Amino acid sequence: MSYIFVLDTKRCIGCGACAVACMDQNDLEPRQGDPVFRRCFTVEKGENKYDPVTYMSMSCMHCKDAPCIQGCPSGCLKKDPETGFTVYDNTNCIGCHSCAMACPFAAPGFGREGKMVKCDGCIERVRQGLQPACVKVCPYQALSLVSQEEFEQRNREKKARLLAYTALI
Amino acid sequence: MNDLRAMTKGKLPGSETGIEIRHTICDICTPGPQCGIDAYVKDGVVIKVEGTPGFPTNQGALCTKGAANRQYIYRPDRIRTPLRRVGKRGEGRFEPISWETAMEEIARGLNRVKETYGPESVAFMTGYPKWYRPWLQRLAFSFGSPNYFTESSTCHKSETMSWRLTYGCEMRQDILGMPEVLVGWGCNPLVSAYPMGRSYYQYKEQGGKVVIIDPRRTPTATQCTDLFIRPRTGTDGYLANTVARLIIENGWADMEFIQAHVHGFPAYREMVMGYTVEKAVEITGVPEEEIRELARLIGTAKKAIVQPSNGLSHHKNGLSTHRAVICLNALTGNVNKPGTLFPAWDTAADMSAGFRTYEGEFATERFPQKARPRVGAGRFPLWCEMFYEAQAMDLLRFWKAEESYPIRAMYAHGVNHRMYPESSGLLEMAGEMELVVAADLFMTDFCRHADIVLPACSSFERGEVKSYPGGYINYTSPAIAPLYESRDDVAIITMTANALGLDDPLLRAGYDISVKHIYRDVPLDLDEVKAAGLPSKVECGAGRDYFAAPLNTPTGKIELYSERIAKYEADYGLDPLPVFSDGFDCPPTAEFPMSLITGGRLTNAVHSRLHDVPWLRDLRPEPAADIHPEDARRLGIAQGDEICLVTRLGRIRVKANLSAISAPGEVNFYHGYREANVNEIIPKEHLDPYSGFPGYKQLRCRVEKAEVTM
Repeated sequence: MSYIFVLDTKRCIGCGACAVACMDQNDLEPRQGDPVFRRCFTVEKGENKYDPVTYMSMSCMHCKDAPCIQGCPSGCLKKDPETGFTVYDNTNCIGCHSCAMACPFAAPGFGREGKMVKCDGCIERVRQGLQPACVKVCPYQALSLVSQEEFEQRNREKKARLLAYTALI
Repeated sequence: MNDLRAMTKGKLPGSETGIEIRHTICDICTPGPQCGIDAYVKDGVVIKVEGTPGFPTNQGALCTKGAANRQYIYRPDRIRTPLRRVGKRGEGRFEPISWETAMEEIARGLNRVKETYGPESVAFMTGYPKWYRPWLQRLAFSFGSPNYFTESSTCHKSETMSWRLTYGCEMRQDILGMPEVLVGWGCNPLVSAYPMGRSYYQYKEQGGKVVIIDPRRTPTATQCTDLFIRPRTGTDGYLANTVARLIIENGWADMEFIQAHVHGFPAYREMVMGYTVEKAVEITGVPEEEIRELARLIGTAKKAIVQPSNGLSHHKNGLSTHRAVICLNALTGNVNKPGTLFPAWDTAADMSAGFRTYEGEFATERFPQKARPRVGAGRFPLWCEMFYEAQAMDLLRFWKAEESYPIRAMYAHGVNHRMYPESSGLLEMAGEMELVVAADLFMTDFCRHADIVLPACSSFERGEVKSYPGGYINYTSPAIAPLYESRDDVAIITMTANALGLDDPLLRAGYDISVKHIYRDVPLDLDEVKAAGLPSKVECGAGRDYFAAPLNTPTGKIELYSERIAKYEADYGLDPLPVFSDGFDCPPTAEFPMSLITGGRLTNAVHSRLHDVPWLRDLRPEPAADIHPEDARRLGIAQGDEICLVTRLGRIRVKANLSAISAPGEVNFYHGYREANVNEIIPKEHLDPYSGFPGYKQLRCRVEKAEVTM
């Protein structure tokens, strides 16, 4: 089964709980030189009271066709067949940042030893049937991990609703 | 990577990894949610935290603050041993001493002050957290001092006063009883109280309609609002009374309910008839159609909830504003039926769990009736009539005033001087005391002014009883041993009571005995509750009906006209009706053309206690003020520029965050920063005459682009 991280921007408030839970899970100390794996943003458009505000939480998107894998000259990155996560073994990482340059989301980071580190989807937890730390903590269930099948089903429903709505107007 | 290494790195609990899950609670933003925590413990050390699945409040999730518990409890500036000051006050030079020596010196010092000046001259004070408050309060009273001060002199208790004055008790909102409309007046639960925030989302998803009224465009205003009304700060009272007038004029008031349950309607009606829509538009800045729509929504709904917030009371006109807002529920008969308001009978620690305890009696039964009047008694009689507490906002005036007796010693747990307007006044006062004792987790600036500093421990390192809405009781056990030589606050209070030789066997017997005394009517064995490790259900039945007996107000009815306030009308100029008055700290002046709003919540902080936790601080590293882009353009300010916020007391230097969080003309800043303490520039006399609360959310100010210093 492969999984997809989904953010419901209607429920996210950009509070940062996911980012903190990620640092707690992965023992990341940015002040000691560690990168962070997950970031939260607030994007405001316009200046009036009803102008849109978007809250975001972003990390590695675990792309199906992950450009970082192609970008790495040392073969550190690969897709995990069981979960679909983009996982890595940085033993042979030469710290060249090619993966980071290839990534459209700036997901790969470089730690105290100069080697690439990034979100591994909390793969050990997911293998045991637990949620990734960021998903587990989310106070509003804005962030979720869903299977490919469920994701596609959700999309089909969304498209059907949209179609029905357009037919109505 | 082999399996065990991978599992250990992934922090999977189990015998292979040696990682054990222990249940505890988060005590960072007490006493609201007090969320269940699963602490992942390996070799006696917490290596990760998670929310406890199925816990009554957090249901397995955690907020930003709670997720950082590990860094919070292991902060390097935890106080490690009892300390005795060796340098000057504030210098921060201490030497370690034993607990025995500390207790001997505390007892000697406090008893000396008592003998010389009287027991009232010792101030017993607390900041956060709140769990030990009943014990500290009893300690003060058994010692003979009525001068028990809490940080609630600036937070929440004004709201309690308003509810009790009007409804006889605090009222809770039955949001999931699906009112037709939910008006969150100043409410921002998505940021400040996430279990309630979740009920807002749930209500919305079930088709509910949310109106948010707030000068600030908060995440709650942007994420789950059908109508967002944005009055100028501090003008809510005018808006509420205008809405009341429209409801009455349109015949939407529930006259049957009013006749049966409400006192003072004729006087209230006469008062609100003086409020006009035209004037409301002028004062509040809210468009006429929004005012009329708000009145229509509240007035015509079969059931509606107008939910007030704490923030309403943080104004010089705060208590009356809060009352004006909650009067709308009674006016429309939206009380005591599903989807409206229900009484929130207090169980313990400000929580309403549905069963009764003796916490209140335990805390107050030793109140020294013959003691000289409390601090604040002369100035805030309504406060002193309603609570067994002194009003801390009068402390800085009182201790120097000639007509009063002197305060000569402070015994403090978790005190944060930055909660006080003109904060450094409290440190100056500490500097002139004969003895200052401070118990805390961290070496705060207040601790640095103490003579004896005592190391307290976190909720992870102690056991405690909590009750939760829905009829739950929980008794935690320590997830880890207390760090260093720290002890829990109640243990410290118990030691102090014993060292002082107080004639109070119950207090001196310690936590386990007193908690059994407090919860003696709960039909569960507390030892079994403790052994269960997770919340146990208490059978508590349907509870007393709100209208079954006369309400706890002088007339036994809901008082739009407060007879309790009326007693102080002549001597103190307090108005028994929720009239609107200007809430600024000074008359309008060209020198200070903008309004300053402070004290709002961030997701990554609560007061000052999380600004030193790196994971949280790094989410928003700089103290930054929200200023509307239009004002910024006018002032030549760009995103991230250094700016000064200036009030008539002084200035602080912060970063500019250009955002429509603030309306044009208003600037919003958050409190508790060491390097930019906004409370320092809030006048200590800028207080609500009813409650004594500071007007944190309404000051005249100006914003200047800071000069660049090289």
